[in-house]
Amino acid sequence: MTSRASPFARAGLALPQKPRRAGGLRGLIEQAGVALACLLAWHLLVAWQWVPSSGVSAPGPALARWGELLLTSAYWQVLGHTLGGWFIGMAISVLVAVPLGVAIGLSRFLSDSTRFTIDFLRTVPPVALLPVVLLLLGPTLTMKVTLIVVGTLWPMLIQSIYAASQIDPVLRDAAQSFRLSRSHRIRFLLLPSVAPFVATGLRIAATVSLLLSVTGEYIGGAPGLGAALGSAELAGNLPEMYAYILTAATLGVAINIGFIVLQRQLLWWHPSVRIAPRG
Amino acid sequence: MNTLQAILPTSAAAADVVFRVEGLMHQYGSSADARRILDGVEFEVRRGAFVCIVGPSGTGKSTLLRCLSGLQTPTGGQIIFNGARVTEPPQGLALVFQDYSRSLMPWLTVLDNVTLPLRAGSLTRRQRDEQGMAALQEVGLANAVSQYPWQLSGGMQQRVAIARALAYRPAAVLMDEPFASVDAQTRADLEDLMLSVRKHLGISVLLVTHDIDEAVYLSDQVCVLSGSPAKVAAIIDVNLGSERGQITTKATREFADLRTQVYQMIRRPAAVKS
Amino acid sequence: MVAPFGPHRPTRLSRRIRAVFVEAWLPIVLVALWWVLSARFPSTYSPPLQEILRLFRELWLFEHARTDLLPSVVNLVLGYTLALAAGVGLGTWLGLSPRLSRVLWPTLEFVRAIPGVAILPVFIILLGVGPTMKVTLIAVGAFWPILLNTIDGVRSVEPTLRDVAASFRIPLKHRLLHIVLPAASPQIFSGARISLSVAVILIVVSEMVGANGGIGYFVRSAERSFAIPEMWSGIIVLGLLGYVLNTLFRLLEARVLAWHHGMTTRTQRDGR
Repeated sequence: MTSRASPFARAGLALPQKPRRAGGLRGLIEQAGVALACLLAWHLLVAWQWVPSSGVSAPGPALARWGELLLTSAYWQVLGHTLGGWFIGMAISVLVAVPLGVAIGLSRFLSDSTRFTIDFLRTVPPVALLPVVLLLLGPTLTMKVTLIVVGTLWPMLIQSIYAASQIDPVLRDAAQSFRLSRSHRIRFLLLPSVAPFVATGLRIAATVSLLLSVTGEYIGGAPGLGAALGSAELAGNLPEMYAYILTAATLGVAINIGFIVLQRQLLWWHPSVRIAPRG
Repeated sequence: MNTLQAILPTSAAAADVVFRVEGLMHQYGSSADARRILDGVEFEVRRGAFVCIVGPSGTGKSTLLRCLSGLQTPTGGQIIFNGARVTEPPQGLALVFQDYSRSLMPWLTVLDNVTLPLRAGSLTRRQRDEQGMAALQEVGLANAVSQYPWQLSGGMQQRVAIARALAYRPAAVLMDEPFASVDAQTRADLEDLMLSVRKHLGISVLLVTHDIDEAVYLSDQVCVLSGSPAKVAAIIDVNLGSERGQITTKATREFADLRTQVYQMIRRPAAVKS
Repeated sequence: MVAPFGPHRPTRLSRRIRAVFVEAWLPIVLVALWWVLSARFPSTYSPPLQEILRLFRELWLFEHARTDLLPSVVNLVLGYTLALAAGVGLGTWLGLSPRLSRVLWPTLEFVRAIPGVAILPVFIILLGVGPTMKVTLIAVGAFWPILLNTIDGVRSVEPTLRDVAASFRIPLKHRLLHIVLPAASPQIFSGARISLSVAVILIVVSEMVGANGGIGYFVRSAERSFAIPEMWSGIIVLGLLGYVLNTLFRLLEARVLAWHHGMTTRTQRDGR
């Protein structure tokens, strides 16, 4: 039995532990029950006019409209636009932030030099730059991608820098004493050590990216979920509006789960995935 | 007079038995798959005695301890502490855990850690701190009062945990393999500490361990747990006198004999089932 | 105020000066670069930094700070505080009820995933564009990260500590105050930080869409009317706002979680 709690839990690396299902099926039914109860409450709130029906659609029509939309190609195109921006933005962020961040993290001088700059720039809300980007690039994919990169670059950079500083000194010593070549050190020491931090950063960046993509679409008008939401709002089509809201939420949940699964698969060997951080 | 010694609670009904365990049984799960861990464990701890429960890892010592401390309800049998049946953690019982680093609050100073259990009582802040200081003095940590647990070494952290138990002024202290996570040197020091504390304050101690040497060195009685499911294989009286030393006592013939005796009891095949 | 368990500070003056230099040269160089390049190659969308800073001084010190920035900050703080109180309170309760939180978890995760931006239209329809809407939107949006992180933090209190509390018969009030909340505080702070950036985003977005004043509205309307230097000055203000809030947050965290920093540095130093 280890005498310390997993350092990964403390480093905030551990994958979120979903509450364990007690008695599998029964737990699942209970959870579904809660979801249905919420839907029911929603329905009643609207039906009894406790919430103005000018602003809130009843779940029935919203779900029905969602069902209809699922069968149209326009819906999937819209989804594709949002996910496209999301993906490209994240990819650019990762490709830039990870190598840069690791390089910075490995050098004391560079980390000290860039600390203030990164600290400051990461606190600028990306939405603040939305007007600028809109002016420069108009309601386009590029505009969305720029917004996403601005929003996700900093967290990923920070995570990568942090990752580089967290390389287990024992492993580093071992690599040195075995006189591993530089490329081997990168491949067998650096990358695997850095991977879990990058993975966590990715997971967080993924949620932020989605948010920024939708924001850019809603306010900026670039094609995608946010824009579809906006036009439904303008047309006063409440059920459709809510169908898109539900879509956005589902997308967010799916992305989060997807990344957790991916992290478990790729990093199955890493203690943060292997060892449950809490007893 | 030592401030910790003055107020040991004694229950009128309990006379001089602090713990009585009768027919203790515990199993996990129900029906056919049930894993029986304890099967009819019975023993007694006299007031003021130092009893060690010894058995190899995996025999269910932890389960036994959790049942004794009221943290777990056994599936059968009963435990009487200070004359009352144990259904939940009883008044007057203090626990010392194996994993000291996890049992101390890292956001509290050493003194605050030690006095935390006293907050629920009617003592003033001043009185609590005095009691805590006395306990820390008893374990030799009077200088570490305003430090944080994680600033201390493993042995010192365990001392803090022991001080916390002492400050509580319990009728008995229950210890769960308390010295398993420290190095041999520190273990020897802590063992002697427990002996001196017991001598000084006269409290009853029930210590669970897998270390036979430790069990024999410390106790008045060794309770050997063996078999699977576990039962009490033997209760061996230890007559090594009240003055014990790491080198002197462990070199005596009696010590070696007792050691062998305990070892044999543990190793006896499960044919001890009755 | 320096956190008592922070890293060892350089004691010699020369070392301190050097440390300041190392951290300062890059930002200074970047700003200088911006200044020079924007003066040399001014464009419609990138006016000279000099002009931006001039406008900044004119507008934001302190006239517009009062009329635009202050309301935004007030709404932000109000909404955030509500979210904090509700999130920690509810989160603690749910965290202590494992059965309940397990059953509610999927629904909570789903509702949390609704992007604040997507429900903005709903809020506008229901509550208009005034401060009520903004505060409510922020409160609702910032609530979720705190709630979920608090639940997680409370649930993951070291089991040994729970045993300690039970074995010493520590009553609920003390357990919450001295064990559960401190143990969960690193996680709670983590959630609170995420909530802070959500709150900032929401105040800006809600003001950009509405027409009711605030810093977001200022930037958007400057953009719309092509008052580019003014727009940039507003963006700088937003950047500063984000930075100040974050720094305040970090200072508070360093103070409250000093024990945590001390403990983890020690663990890292000593290895596993």
